[in-house]
Amino acid sequence: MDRQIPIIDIQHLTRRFNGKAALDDVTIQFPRGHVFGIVGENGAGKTTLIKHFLGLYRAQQGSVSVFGMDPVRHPKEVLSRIGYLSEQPDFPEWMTVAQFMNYMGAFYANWDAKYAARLVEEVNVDPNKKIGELSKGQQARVGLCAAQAHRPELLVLDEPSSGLDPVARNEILAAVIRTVVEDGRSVLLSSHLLDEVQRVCDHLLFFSEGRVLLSESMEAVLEKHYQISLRIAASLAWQSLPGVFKATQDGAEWQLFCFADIGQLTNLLEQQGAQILDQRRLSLNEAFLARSPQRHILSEVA
Amino acid sequence: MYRAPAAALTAELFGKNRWAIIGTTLIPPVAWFAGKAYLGKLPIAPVGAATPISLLILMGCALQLALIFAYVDLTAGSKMSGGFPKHILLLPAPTWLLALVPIVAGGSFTSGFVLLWLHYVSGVHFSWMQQLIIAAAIASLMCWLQAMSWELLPSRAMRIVLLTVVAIVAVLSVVSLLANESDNLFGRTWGAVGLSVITISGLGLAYLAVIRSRRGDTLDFYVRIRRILDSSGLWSRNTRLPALANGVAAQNWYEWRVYGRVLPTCMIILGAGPLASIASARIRHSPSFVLPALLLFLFFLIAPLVGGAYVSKNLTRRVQMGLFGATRPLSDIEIAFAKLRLAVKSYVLSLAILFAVVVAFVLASRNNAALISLWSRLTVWQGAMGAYLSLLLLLIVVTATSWAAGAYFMSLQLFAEGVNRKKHGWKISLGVTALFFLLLDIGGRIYRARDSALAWLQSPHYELLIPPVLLIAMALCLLPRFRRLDTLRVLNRLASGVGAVAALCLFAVWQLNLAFGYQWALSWLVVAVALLTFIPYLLVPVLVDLNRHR
Repeated sequence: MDRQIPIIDIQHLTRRFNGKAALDDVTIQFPRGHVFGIVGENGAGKTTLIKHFLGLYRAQQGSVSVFGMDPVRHPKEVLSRIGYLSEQPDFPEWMTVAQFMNYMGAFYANWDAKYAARLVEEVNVDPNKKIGELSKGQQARVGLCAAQAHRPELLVLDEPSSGLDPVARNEILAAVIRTVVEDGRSVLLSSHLLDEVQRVCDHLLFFSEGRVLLSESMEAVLEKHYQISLRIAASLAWQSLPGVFKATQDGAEWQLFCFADIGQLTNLLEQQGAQILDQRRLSLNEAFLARSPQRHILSEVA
Repeated sequence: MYRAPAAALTAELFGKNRWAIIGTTLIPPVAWFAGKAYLGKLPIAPVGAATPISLLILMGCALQLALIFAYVDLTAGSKMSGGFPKHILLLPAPTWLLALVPIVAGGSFTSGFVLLWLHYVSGVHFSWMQQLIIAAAIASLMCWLQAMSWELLPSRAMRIVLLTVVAIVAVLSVVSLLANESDNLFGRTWGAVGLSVITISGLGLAYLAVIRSRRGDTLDFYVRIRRILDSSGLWSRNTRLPALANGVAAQNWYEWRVYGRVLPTCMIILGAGPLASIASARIRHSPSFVLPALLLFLFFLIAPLVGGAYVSKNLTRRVQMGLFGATRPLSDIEIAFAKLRLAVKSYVLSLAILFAVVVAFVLASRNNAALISLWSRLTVWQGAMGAYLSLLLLLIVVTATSWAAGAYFMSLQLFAEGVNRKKHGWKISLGVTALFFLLLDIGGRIYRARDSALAWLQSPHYELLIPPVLLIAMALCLLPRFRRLDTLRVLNRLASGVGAVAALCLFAVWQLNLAFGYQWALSWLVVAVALLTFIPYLLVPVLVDLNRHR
């Protein structure tokens, strides 16, 4: 495999449903060997993006390339190198777990039956049980085994832990870590649970209203998100300040939310006559809420 | 406010299903008026054709009404409670009442509907005793439907087979009881016994099923039986893992396992009747070709309808091109051809089952005089070779048409899903209905003007080239898409196969001892059927592509 080619290359991708843009001029590249976290509010476009690089949506505008190929034109070649688990897996309920693993194994040249059996054993699911007889958590575990057993180059987890108990969530995170440890493969995790994302991802994508608001390393996201409280007598043109993405005003007091070099920004503010009252680093959760366009959430943060 | 729990339960039953009940009860009158207005004008319609058709519709509606009252969803999987309002299990009402209300309400409404219709519209007059027998039969079936709707049997296949067997026995019992001769079929005594056994066992099972639903798994026979089987080692799920060489084999296995067994099972159930009758001397006095002909007719009627079930097991639900299906690492053409292969395999197997039944029936029959006479007349008319050729031709044309109809139904299902059925479903239904009546109308017109049509066909008509030209234009438009799907090689092979069979049929047509005009017409029919058979192979890959990559 050519490690220079990005695993996913999306250029100016736009997708509309009934005239409303679900993805709006999205351009992203995912290099190999990383764990990407995609976060965003409901309807931000995360699943739409994932469906594009699974080949389930055709690019209306722009282009999508996975492993250097168009997933719509080459579904077989692309999907055979991806392991995928969705929030609501629609597995055939009539199959037993053993039948299901046997069935899935036929599709992948790299399927490792011993590894698959070990994974099923590890997640403590009876292989003779029908999938329809399993709980939601057990189904997710089986799906995870099936997504991993062919050692995919890219593991895609679309909100896999929604509605699952903490044990099942931990197993999913363990799978992500295992995938990364083994051969430095890539993982893409879309999730609402930011603590999970923070634990395992090394690169983060903030999605909102079909746009990429932020694509940065996890380290940078945690280092550079700040909330600054200040007092200023004059008006403040906060939109022109570098890295400031939100601001709330209460008389002469301001709350600024920024993603920037904090030293430079505070110097600049002080030059404009502002008195810095407080500055604190935002957690990932707070940064997510601050970047959310929903005002009521912002007011809670403020 | 209702004073009794039974009244409240009955009101809920009617209230919840009022539109379904009204819609179903309106179908026979609408069909009757439509039949009066339309069928009577068709020259091919035999005298009194509206009566058996309206009776068939009435039977279908009665069954539908019974299903509505019993809340049965025969297509539901192991979690099969269907639409039953489970909250009633928590009401402070006795268990027998919960079981009895749908049976009494459904049985009396359906019986009343059927008897009133038969009496006032169809003009069939039954005595009080006969009416009572019909009502009892409907009530007995309601008991069984109710039993099946209460999670007594988790296996869908077992439920359907059991219900079908019970329904056949009930119908035969009723016919035995209603017949003028006391020894017809089972005879009156055994007919009464049969009907009583069905009613009592159905009531018992319905009651048992309600108990089971109320108390959870305390009477879970199915699980107990499975445990015994598992512990005995006689039947282990592990041993049933299929050997799947690759993704295509896995997909073929999956398709067959999910969709392929519907039509063959129908044929086995249909064929069970004639096979059972072979053992019985009572009905051998009827000519042997009647039942086989009826079976073949039913097959060619049912098979196209099952086409939609090759795509969606439950026609009311979403086509199974969901995330799981769409994310298999297979090309679109592999998915499409797995579907088409499934359709052909299922169809051929069903036909084989049916032919085996027909052959067994004819061989076992002692009354083949009519059949032999028919064959002799054909041999005299066409010669020995011509008779065989005409039989072969008929078989190929009818089979191909029926299979193609099924494939179009499947394509329609895929198309409807591809274009958002919720939004455009009613337009598609309307369009298909209009097309159906248009084709019926064209057929009627051609039949009425057959002499002039034949005369017209004997002179050269270059406009007849329009369909092949349109087909070529369509192929050229689709060529880039097929090239992308890497389909051309496969399509070429298929086209050659279909072309070879069509050439054989054309040879047969021109060997037959027929007037030139008829040979012309038959030739065009063969060409049209060949095209109809081949077009699904062009359509389905495109529709899979449409569904998979939206």
